Amino acid sequence: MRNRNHSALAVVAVAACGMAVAQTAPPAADEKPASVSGVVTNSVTGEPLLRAHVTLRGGFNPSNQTPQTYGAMTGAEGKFSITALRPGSYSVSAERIGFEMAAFPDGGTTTQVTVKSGDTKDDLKLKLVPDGAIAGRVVDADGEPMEAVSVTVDTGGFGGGQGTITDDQGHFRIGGLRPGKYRIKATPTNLPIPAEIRTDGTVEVHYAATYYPRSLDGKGATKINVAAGGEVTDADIKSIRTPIVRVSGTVTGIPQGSRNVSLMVQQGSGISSGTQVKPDGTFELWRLDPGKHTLSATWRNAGQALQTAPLEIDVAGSNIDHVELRMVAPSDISGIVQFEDEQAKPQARPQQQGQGGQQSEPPKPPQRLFLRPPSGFLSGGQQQAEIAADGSFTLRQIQPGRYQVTLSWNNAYVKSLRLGQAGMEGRTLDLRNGSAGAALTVLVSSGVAEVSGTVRNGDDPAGGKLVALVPDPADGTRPFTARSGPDGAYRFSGIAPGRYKLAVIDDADQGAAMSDAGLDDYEDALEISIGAGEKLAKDLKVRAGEGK
Amino acid sequence: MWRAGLILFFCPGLGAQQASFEGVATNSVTRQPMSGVHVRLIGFNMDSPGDVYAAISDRAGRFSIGGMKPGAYALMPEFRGFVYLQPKQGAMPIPSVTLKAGEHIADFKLEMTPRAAIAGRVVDEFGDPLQYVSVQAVALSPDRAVGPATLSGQFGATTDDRGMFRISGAPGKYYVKATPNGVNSNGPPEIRTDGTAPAEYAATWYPSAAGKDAATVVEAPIGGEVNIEIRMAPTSLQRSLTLNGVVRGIPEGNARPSVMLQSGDSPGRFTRSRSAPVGADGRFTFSRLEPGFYRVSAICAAGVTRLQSAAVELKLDGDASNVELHLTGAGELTGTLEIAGDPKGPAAPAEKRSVRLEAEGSLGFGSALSGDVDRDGAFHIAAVPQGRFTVHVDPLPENAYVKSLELDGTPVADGVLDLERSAPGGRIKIVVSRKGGQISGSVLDKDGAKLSNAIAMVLLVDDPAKVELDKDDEHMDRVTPDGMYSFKGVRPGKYRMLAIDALHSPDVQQPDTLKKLAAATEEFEVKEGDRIAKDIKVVAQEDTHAKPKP
Repeated sequence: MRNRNHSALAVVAVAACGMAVAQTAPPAADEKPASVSGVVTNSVTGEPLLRAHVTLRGGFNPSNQTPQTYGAMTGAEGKFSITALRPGSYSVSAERIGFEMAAFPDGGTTTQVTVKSGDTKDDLKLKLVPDGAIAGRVVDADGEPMEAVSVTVDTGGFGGGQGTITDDQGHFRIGGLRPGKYRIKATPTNLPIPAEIRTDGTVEVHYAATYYPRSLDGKGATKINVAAGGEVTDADIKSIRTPIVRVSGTVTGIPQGSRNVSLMVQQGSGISSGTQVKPDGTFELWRLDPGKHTLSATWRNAGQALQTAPLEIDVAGSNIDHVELRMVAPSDISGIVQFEDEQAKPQARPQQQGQGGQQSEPPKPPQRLFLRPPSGFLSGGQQQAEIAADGSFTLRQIQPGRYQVTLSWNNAYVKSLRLGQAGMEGRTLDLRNGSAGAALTVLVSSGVAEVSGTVRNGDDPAGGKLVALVPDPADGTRPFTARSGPDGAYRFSGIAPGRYKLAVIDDADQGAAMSDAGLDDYEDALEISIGAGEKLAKDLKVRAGEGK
Repeated sequence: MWRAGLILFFCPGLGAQQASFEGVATNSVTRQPMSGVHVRLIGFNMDSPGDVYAAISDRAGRFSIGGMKPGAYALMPEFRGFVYLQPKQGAMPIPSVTLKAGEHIADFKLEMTPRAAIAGRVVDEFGDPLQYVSVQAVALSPDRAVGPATLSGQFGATTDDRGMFRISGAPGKYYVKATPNGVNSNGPPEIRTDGTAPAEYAATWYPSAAGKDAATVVEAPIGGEVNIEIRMAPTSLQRSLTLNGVVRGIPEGNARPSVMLQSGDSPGRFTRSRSAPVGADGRFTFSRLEPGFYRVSAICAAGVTRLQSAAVELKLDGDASNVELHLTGAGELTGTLEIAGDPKGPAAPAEKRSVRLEAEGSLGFGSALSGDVDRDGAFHIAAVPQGRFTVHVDPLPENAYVKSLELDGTPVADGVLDLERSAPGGRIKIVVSRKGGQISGSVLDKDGAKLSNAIAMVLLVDDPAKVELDKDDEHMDRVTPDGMYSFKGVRPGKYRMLAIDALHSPDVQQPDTLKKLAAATEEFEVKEGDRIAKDIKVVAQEDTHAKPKP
């Protein structure tokens, strides 16, 4: 159905499959162009910025034509101007080398501007904050410079952290950093080769990835505080020597005669190593860094894929042999959603109101069940199934592993699961041995909980702070995050009862909070336990400054 | 790269006589011995890391490794600020050493060369620095000495927030190329009303040239550094091309199709892809395109129904407009699989098989279209969109090949199922024969001795003009450590065969070299059920000058 009402506000929902739901209408004949102008300044000095690139990115507009992007360069006095703009809503940003968009009070780095037919907006003020940089040297145990060491900003593996490689004097410099606190890590170029055989009496020396200033894990790292436009020049990292460790084992269940079985190793949420499995199914991995790693083997043959359930190993000072990985065929799982109570059923969403216009009934989007694998590359993406009116669903081609079962509506949570005869408390579905054709029953309850409170800095409310709520222990699913309002208030609703850690986190740690470590680095994270239907009030404090 | 791996290793033979490797490390400029050089020999192995031997040179520059297994090793010495260069030997750009059983190399001269650096800045037309520009040094003469570029010499770099970069590696003459790491947006170019133009930069050669011919040579001095500034050349947007069109047959409702554009440098081989949204009027536009070969198609997911258009392939050397894509539903493909000579019904062998369709030109990431074959040989594949597909039987019986393929009673000549027609789906018949040809034998070095402990492979070629590495696994065989190769399930026909030794054969990564070498081999015929024993010599450098054989 195409809606002919010009004033109807588009109801926009973009689904993962690239499908867009939108009410559409042809452009209005009487539509007049709008214009936007303003000024871009340096947020620290207040000086205008020359040759900053301002963009207005169109979202969906009333006439619902292809979104358009407008641009302009600032001239003298930092001024820019865009005329002949199609009315609609735009996200505005500015860029200039050596600068970042300054955060708005809501913590975001873009702002929205909406212009109606014939509008003139001439007071747009955009502020750019100057970038900082971290420079230093990477040295070995004897204090000698180390060359070709990759030095990166640790984001917990999410979103490529900026990085560089040390030169022949061991020097590095990471520029383009938004003001904030950063953890940096030096990773030497270690080929995944066996320990060297030497007959001349010398001994091989091996270095592991090391956090600034001298730590094997993120917990022992010191964060470096980078001010706007500031440069830290003495961030020297002393690499830590570790033994060379071998991890070996066997992959079973490989289809007969197959050669192309590859083994991938993940640490945190990055790939840390990998190898080809030998024709006899055995494998050897060398030089893994200390810490937890996840192994999974995959066999791929155009269109078909078999893999082993991810297996976690803890690498310390000695070899780990006889590791066994078994290939399990992907499962098709049929099942049913059962509601513990009426309230657990998806509630009709409040109708989004158009601007005084009538609106045709938007189609009810189907409700879905999600299977979320732990974060990272090994486990593939999130799987989902539509839930039919009678509560039945079918998940297809689910690879072995452990998954979190979640719902597409937020007035209910997954209370328990049953796969065939095996009951599982909570939402963790264990498919490490496949499903063996068993049906899955998902019990859904309405007893969702809520946590809310105020973030304070000393006695003052602190707005725009990022608050994270992570299941405890971390299960690798995306943590809940919220930003405190101008009055410092934050709220998480629709959460499953259970144990959580709650903390105010640095923006740069959003990724880390999602990794296996969760909020482990935040020693002052609150450990909370929430019961079904409970509404918990917890005020939070911004941590005192740290780092250098 | 040989196969997909970065580094290849070879498994040295077992129980053979031990070898040793000794020598002196010197500075190639001062001729003085160098102490503290980390001399490494890494065993080549196809599947997993081979043994690694190492030594540290002493005050006299001497190093010594004993008790080694014979075999081929990559020689990768390390010393900070130095690079090891060795004249190029074969297809693999890695210095190597081959040790025969009982061989003692006593006086290897390991010359380490002080590294050179090219440092500088990349700026725009206003002199402002440009970040995330990838800078590469391209050696003037491609046949120059090679070093382990990826280990300690960095032959490429990315500019930082000050526009600065530093590349260090082998001294010599280079062209330096800066390529903007542009995140090309799919959408139409941004609209400017202030008289400025969006900054778009083309790859620029030092100092500010659009092509290599107009570039200035940079001399990177031994043990020194040269400083340069590259001024990026803006591209005028007028030179980029636009492709637009319309999607027809969009269903009523909320589903919105998206259009996928694949591109490549030759027809039918698409290496890049991007997508664009479709407007409410069904129209779509791709801008900022370069001349080349393109394939455009539309898909639309409306609930459980999935509509897809046939792909339109076109060569772009000007703008293309009004490309029409018609969405149609999927069809069902039914068929039978007959394995010649096998009984049918209850007496059929129990092995489970499936028939799989692979879209031609797909990058292999699409969802699998396949159907299980039942006891009577029947199968069906649901929701087959329009398109061209290759047909595969998984698994094929031992030594079997697909003998014939019919679509709706018509033989399919080249093995490609053409389902780009108005009514999707159809009926296919596949006949598989268990009597494929078999070819096997020894691989010999250029002196006629059996090859062992080398990294080599044999290619079975049906058409030398179309030969490619990595194209088709079943026509490529790794040579075993004892120098044997074998092919099974070979479809009857005329073939040529080519054996390549990675360390000593010419650079077959060059497609033309590979084609030429393949054309110069003898053609032979394989008939159904043949068992052919054939020894084959590895191709040598001089074979690149051989004439094609009919």
